[in-house]
Amino acid sequence: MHASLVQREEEFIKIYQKYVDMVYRICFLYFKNHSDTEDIVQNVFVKLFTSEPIFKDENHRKAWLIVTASNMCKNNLKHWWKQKVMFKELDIATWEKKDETLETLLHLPQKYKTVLYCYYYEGYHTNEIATILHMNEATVRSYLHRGRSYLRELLEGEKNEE
Amino acid sequence: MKNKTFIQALNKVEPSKNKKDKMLENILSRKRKTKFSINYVWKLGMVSLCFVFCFLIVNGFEKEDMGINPTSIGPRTAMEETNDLCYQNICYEKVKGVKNKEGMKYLDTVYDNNKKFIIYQGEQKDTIIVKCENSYFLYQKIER
Repeated sequence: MHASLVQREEEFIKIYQKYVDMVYRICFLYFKNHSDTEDIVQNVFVKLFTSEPIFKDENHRKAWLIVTASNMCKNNLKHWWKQKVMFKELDIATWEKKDETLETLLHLPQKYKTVLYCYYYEGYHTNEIATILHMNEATVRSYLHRGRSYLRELLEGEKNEE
Repeated sequence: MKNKTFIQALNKVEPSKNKKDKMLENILSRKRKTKFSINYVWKLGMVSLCFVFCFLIVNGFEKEDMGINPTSIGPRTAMEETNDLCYQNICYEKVKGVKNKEGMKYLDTVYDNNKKFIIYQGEQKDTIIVKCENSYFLYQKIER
């Protein structure tokens, strides 16, 4: 194999190791099962590898991966087959320790997931999220507010049931 | 919900080391596939076959519409001499000339011996009107 190709592959592996967990988490929030998540994660990285987008800096690359992952998940969920097959079984049920908070997170409406993830997990500010996701800042804030209330309702509901 | 709860919950979602390696292997193998992989050639072949098929269908229809298809008229050649014709495997004989051309429904255009014949539906189902060199003739189906 050509030396530059090897170099490129090594560079890619480094990027993969750095961001695979992040992409995996975003995809899992949408698909709620590991097998579909793995497929989409692979597609996201193949796209990164084949389309070779030019990034200004590391933050730009990270933002690209977040947007591409969430877009790919949304597109995949729109597919007629996916709409037909319901996700009755959640993989988290098979985990050793069932996590109620995570389960509640997975039940969030699709549109709030990426915004909440970027805000809480990645620590982005609302203006940064607005730029990354090409949304209005006010919309981001309202999504955050609604997402939080939704989560609160779900979590309190679960507690009351107990 | 606090940041901590959110982060703690999501931290549990993590692919194992084996899974990560397996995914990386798959990604690299998918990337290494050239444009001329078996999958690509197979798809290209199917697309070109579809094009050929569509081309044949369209050409076939066009020929029929233009009346070039020799089976659409004949086997008789000189219509004026024999006073009868075969159109779509049904034989007709010439009855009379037609003056009133209103309300005729166009059926087809056929060519025989480089002559153009325009076929119209007659008033009765077993009749057709044929226009040849600016003259209209009523033809009736020959009962056998």
